[in-house]
Amino acid sequence: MLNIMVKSALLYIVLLIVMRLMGKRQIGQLQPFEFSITLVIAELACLPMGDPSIPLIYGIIPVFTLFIVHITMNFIAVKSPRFRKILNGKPLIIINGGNIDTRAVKSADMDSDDISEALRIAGYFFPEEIEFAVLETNGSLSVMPKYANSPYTPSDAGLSNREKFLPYTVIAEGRLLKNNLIKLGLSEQQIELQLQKLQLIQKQVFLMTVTQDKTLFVQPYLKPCYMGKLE
Amino acid sequence: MKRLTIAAAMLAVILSAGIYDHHRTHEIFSRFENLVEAVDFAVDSGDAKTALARTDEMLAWWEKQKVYIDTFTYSPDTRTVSVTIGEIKGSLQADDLQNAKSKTQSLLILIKNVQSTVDFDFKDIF
Repeated sequence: MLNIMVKSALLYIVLLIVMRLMGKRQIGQLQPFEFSITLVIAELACLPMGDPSIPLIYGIIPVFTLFIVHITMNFIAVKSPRFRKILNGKPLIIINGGNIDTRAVKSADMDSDDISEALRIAGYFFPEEIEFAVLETNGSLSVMPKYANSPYTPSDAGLSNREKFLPYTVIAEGRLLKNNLIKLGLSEQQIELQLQKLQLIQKQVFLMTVTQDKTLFVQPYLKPCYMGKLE
Repeated sequence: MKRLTIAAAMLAVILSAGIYDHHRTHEIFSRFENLVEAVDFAVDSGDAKTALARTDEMLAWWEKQKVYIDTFTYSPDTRTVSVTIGEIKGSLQADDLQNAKSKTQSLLILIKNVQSTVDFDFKDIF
């Protein structure tokens, strides 16, 4: 029993390493071959977990081998558009200029219910609102609404472009992230001073973010959040 | 590029380990066959005492090799090999040379089966 427990823990770590190495994609964004490899890897890792007579190496070697195959396929796909097309297929325009292309829908093995569902998930309940819809290679539907149905943006109102800044986390669960401070050109003393003004200490802060234009957000553990400018 | 390098390094490690394992397994089972044949020869000569000494040596040697075999490969027959050696030993202790002879022959076949299971063979892929 103990050896199964240790094997399971070790295989979990191996899986974690391999999944981390395979890259960042959410399950809904995986290409078909990536999805199949993910499922198979999980299955292979389970074999030594469940059977004490199967050596640990019989779980590790297949997992690493599939990782090697996956990286190789990815590398070739990046270098060769033709191979990429064979591996992933190509996107399909389902709605073109406001018209549903019924031949494209049929070739994708979809029906009207599938289209309606996919449009609703994208936030559009009326097909007449859509200008273009593309069925991506990972099975998701990308939708471009008609101009009249597009969300209103500042540029539609003639507002000039305002620069936007990315918030950097400087404190996370009470810990100061010094790398982000360096990126922002801030010092620890400045942060400490700011926290003193808010009558807080570092350990009391769940989340603190700062942008390049000094916009501040502080969420303490036990107090309401503070939004303002870094002084 | 980093992932590609890691993948290449892993591939090199797995291939090297596989080639080493293939050679080591081949060596183990070649030696094992020689040891069994030595016991078989002693049994054929009617020398139960020598056969028993050689069987004891063989058993001690096999138990050491089994650690490597069980760690890196899988065959349910490795335990059967130990049992068969035990049976040969029992037969020799009882001076039953006929039974010992049949067990050594079984052991030779078993060794070949285990080797074909744990060693690399192209036809095993299919």
